[in-house]
Amino acid sequence: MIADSQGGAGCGSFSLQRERTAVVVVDVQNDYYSLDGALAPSQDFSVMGASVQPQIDLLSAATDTGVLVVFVRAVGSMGHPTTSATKILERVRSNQSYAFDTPEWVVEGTWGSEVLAEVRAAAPQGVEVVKNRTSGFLNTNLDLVLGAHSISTVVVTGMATDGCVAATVRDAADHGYRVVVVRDAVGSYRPDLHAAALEIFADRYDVRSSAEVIAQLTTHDAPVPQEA
Amino acid sequence: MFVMHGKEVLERLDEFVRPQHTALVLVGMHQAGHLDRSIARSDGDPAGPTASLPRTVRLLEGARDAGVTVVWVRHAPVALGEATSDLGLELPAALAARPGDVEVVTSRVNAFLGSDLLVTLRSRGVRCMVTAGLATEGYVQATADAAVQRDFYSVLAEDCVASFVPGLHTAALAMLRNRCEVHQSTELLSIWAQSAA
Repeated sequence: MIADSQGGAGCGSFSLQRERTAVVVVDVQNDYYSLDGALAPSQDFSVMGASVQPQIDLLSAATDTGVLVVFVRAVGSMGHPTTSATKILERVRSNQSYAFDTPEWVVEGTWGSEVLAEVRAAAPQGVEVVKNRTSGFLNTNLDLVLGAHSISTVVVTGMATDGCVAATVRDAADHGYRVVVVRDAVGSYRPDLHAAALEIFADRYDVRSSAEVIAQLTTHDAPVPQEA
Repeated sequence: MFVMHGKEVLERLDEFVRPQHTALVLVGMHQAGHLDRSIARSDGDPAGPTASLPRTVRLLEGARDAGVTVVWVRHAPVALGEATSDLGLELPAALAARPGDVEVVTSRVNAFLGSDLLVTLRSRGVRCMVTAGLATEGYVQATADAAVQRDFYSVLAEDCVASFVPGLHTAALAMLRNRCEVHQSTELLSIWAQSAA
């Protein structure tokens, strides 16, 4: 099944089967989101900041209803064993284009690489998956974790809408998952690219608000799970 | 080129697209068997894709003259009876594989998934992938971005990619400028012509 054949489905009826759904939280880490982190203080935080409470609300609902939550964490540094020449170039280029005032971020083992505390606390049972590239699926155990829980739908939040979220969403569809992107729970330091990504997502995936997803997770007449 | 943390890092276009270590990867360039929403949609406009094809032919010819590896990605479903769509426009006869070209088949939008593309490129010592074809927000974006993630220098031939929905082409291109090296085909052809001389 090619999941992206679902097309843009942001209107009409929307339903989720709790037992087959996972919330995948992409790169909600201190260096990206905390004003004490490495990157956030120097960046346009308007979109990112607004996306935090919807994630907390969504994760609280997921926790209350026993829905699987996966926190994907980006880990890397200039000297990391998985850092290639092209990855160095990518870091140098993004350092220039975003005017980061630091050469390192999400260094393995540091507070900056940990999940933002208030988001982590909203899903204490959440599973953590570590990645060294843009997509949550590339060379990680994300697909194993989802498969082990018989997940067929991934509900995606986090950052960046146009970067790691987009890459994770594309790979999720290519791995056969139905994708739901939570419109107010994703963000980017680039509002223009955030909008561009959402425009593409709306054309090929289900883009919903956190309120719509929460309503589906907490409904008391959820259908009996059926074969996908 | 600069050296950082013990690694040689290429940084200029002429370093990236040296023919000896470069592959031109053409996506969506076949009539039937398409699996992605971006191809032959009922609300699509073929004008942009049609206009891009002569430029893609020139890029292909320049690549061949310079000895750049040419890779054709063909999409085909894995599931029997899976619905596919046709490209919905006529491809020039020149946009066809020749002996020496490589063909890769995939059932996914990202040409690296469900295919031999990665091992094919690695076994040929390819370090740089130039992406061209259709459609920008479908096979092109997924594949060019996947190349970045798999440690290829990823170059997008900006005027040799197109979409059936102009707004989605613009959106995808904006995102790709932040991820890949986006260049006009004339820049690539100029570099390749000098190396073939």
